[in-house]
Amino acid sequence: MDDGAVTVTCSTADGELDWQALRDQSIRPYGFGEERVRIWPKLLHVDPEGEVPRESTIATGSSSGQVSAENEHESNSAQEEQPHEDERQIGLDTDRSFVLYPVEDTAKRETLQAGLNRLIVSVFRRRPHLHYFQGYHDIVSVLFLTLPKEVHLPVTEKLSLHRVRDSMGTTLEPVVGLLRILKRILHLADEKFAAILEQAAPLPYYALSNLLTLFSHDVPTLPLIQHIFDYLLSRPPIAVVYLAAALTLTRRREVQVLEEEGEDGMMHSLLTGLPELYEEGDPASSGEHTVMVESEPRKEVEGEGEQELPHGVEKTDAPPAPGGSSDVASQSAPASPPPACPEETQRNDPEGPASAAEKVVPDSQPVEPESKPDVNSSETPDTETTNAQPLSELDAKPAEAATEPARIDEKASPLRTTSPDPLDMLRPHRPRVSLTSLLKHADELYAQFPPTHPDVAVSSIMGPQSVMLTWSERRAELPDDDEAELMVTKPELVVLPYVEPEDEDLASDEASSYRPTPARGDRNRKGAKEESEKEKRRRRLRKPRRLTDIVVQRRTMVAGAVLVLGVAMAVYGYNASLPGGGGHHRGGFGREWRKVGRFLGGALVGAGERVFEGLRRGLE
Amino acid sequence: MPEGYDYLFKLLLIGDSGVGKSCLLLRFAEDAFTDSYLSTIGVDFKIRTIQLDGKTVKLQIWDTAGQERFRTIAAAYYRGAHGIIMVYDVTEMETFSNVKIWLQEIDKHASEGVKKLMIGNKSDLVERKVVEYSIAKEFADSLAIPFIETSAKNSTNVEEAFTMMAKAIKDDVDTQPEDSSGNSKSSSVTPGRSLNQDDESGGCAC
Repeated sequence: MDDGAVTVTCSTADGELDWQALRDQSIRPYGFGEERVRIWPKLLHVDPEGEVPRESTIATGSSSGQVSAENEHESNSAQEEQPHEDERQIGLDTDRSFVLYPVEDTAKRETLQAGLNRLIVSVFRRRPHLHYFQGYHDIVSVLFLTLPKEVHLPVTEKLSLHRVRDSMGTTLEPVVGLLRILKRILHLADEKFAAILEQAAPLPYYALSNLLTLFSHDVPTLPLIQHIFDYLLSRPPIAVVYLAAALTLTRRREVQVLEEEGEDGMMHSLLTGLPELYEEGDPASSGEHTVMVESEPRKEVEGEGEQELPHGVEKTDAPPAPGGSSDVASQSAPASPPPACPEETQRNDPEGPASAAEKVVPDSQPVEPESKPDVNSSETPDTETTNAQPLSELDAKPAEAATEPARIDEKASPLRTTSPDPLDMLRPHRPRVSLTSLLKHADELYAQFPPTHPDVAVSSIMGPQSVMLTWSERRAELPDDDEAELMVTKPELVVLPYVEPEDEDLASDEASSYRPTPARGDRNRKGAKEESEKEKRRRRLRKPRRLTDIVVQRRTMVAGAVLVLGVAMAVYGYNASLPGGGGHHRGGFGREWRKVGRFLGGALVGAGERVFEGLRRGLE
Repeated sequence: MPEGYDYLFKLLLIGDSGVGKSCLLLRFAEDAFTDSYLSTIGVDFKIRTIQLDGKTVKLQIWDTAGQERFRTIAAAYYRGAHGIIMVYDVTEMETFSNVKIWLQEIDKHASEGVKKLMIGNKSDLVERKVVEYSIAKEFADSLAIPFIETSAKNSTNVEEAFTMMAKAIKDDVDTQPEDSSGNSKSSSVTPGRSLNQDDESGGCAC
C-alpha cells in the first residue's frame, strides 16, 4: 500500500537488527513504509528463508514433489491438524472481519475472510494450547493485509507466541493486569485526570480493546494501524500500554467536560473511541467534521508545559503538516513527507490542512446537542446518522469512512456499537492527534515511567511468564516456541494473583459510573435516594461479587504464588541493575525476569501448581 | 445537571457471541442494520431516548462481547444495570441453551431487583429457525421472564422489546415507596424487589 516514499535504511546489513534505529524510524511519519514487509518478520525473528514456511511450499508445489501441491497440502494438514476447540468462535469473527478496510466488494471480502480464517485456524492447530480471543482476528488481519502470504503463518505464530501470548490463555486476567498497569501510568502522568477516570470506572476498561488487539480493532485505516504496528513491533510488548496511556492523555479536556456535565456513561463511550489520528504529511481530512468537534481555543497546546501538555495532541487549528504544531512533533523534525501517500489517495480530500484549520476558528463554542430529544427519536442527531449513507454502502466503501474521521474515530461509524454521535455533537472538541507525536509521547512516558519505575512496577502485576517479562530483542533469549506455548497453561505465572487493595476499590466505588441518575422533577429525590442506597449496597456487594470466580480461585492460590513471587523478587533484586530511563528500550528490562521466569517455570511451578490444584479442588 | 429526560435507565445486553446483540442495539439506537458488523470487544455503549407514558426515558445501553472470557469484564457492568436483556439466536440451539448460563451470570453479578428480558433474535431467518417460539416461551414463563422474538435485520419487535424493558423498569420505579431512604438494606435499594418483579414480569409477557 505504501508507496515506498519512506525508505528505511536502518535495518542493518543482514543478520542483526538495529532496534534503536528501527525505533527511531517507527516514530517518523509513515513509520517503516513499504519496508515493513521486510522488517516485521525480522522483528518477530522469522527468517524469510530459514524457516520452512509451509504455505509457500504448498503454494509453489515444492520442487521436491512428485506429489501435487494439493495432495501435499492435504497430507500436511491431516497429520498435524486436529480441529481446535475455538474454531467456531474464530469463524464467527472472521466472518465479521475486514469491515473497515480494505476497500473491497463483498465477494472479495469473503475471499479475504476465508483466507484469514484459514490462517488463524492453522495457527491454532499448530499451537493447540493457545486459545483464541475475540479481537485476535483483528490483529491477524493487519498482518494478513500487510505481509506476503509466505510469511503469514510463521509471523502470526511468532507474534502469538512471543507478544500476544498473555491473552491466549483461557481468561482475560492478563489483560486486566495491563489495565492496572495503565491505571498506574496514568496516575503518574496526571494524577488529577487519573482521579476523574477512576471515578468513572475502577479500571480503564475503555482501553481493553486497544490493549487486547494492539489497537487493530479500533484504528480505522490500514496505513495508520500499520504504522502503529511498526511502533509496537520494534518495542517490548509493554509499549502498548504506554501507547494507550498517551492516547488517553489526549482526551483530557473532553473528559473534563463530560465530568463537569455528569455524563457518566459517556465517558466510556468517549474513551473507547479514538481521537482523530492522522499521519503527519497527510492533508487534513474532512474539515466539516473538525469544525464540529473542535472548540478549543487555538494554540493552547503549544503554550503549555511539558508535563501538562497532551503531547501529541494537535488541535484542529494547527496545520497537520509534518512537524506540526505540537511541541513533540516539532522536536522530532520528521522526515520530509512523501510526496504521495496511501491515505492521501484514498481519502480524496478536497480540503487541505489550511482550509480545515480555518474553518475551525469561528466555531469556538461546543455544540450543545442535548436539547430536548424529539419524541421517540434517538438522541443521535439526524444529520450524523440517519443521514449517513446506508450501511451496506458504507461497508463497501471503507475508504469513505476514512474521509470522515470525526465519525469513525469516535467509533461513530455506524458499524461500531457505541454512541458516538451524541459525542460528536457534544462539546467534546475531539483533538486531532498526529500519530507520530502520539507515538513519541508514548516513548516519553516510557522513559519517564519505565516498567521498572517503583510506581509502575510491571513485575509486581505481571508474572514471570508474561510476555512482558519473557520478551527479548534477541532471539536466543526468547523462550523457545514450544516452551512459550505451554506458558499459557500456567495463568498464575502470567499475571500474579491479585488481591484487591482496599483503597483502590473503595475510592473507585464512591462515584462509580453505574449510578442511576433520574433527572429533574420529582423523580429527582427518589433518584438521589435510590442512588445513594444503591451505592451503599454496591459497595457492600462489590467485594464478594467482583469477578467472583477468579477472586475465589485466586485467594486460594495466593499463598503459593506469594512464595513463588518471593523467590522471584529475591532473584530479581539480586540480578537487576535497574536499567535507567535511557536503556529501557534496549531490552534491558525483562532480561533478568526472563531468567527468573524460566527458573520458576522449570523448578517451582510444577510443585506450586499441584498445590493450587489441590486447593482449588478442595474448595469445590 | 443532565437535562431532557425524566428517567435514566441502564440496560445491558448479554448473550452468546454472534446472536446479534450489537445489531439489535444498532437497530434500536440508530435504526440501521448491517450484515457485516464488527465483533464487540469488551463493552460498548449507546443511548437512546424514548417516550413512555408521557415521560421521557433515556436508555443507556451497554453491549457486551459474547465470548466467554469477556464475562468477567461484563460482570463489572451488571451491578449498575436496571435491566438485563439476554439474547439468543433462533437459528442456533446452543445459544438458547446457554441462556441458562447467562441467567446464572445475572444471579451472580446483578442487583436483586434487576429486570430481565429474553430475546430470540434473527426471527427473519424463518427457514433456519430451530428454536421454536413455544419452547422458548415456555422456558421464559417458567422463570417469569418476559420473552420476545425480534429481527434486527427487518426491525421486527426491536422497538417493542426495548420499550417493554423500559416499561417494566419504569413501573417498578414508580411503584417504589417514596420513603426508603435511611434504610440501606436489601429490598428498598434497587428498583423493585424480587416478589414484585415476578408479578410484573409475568404480566408483561408478549
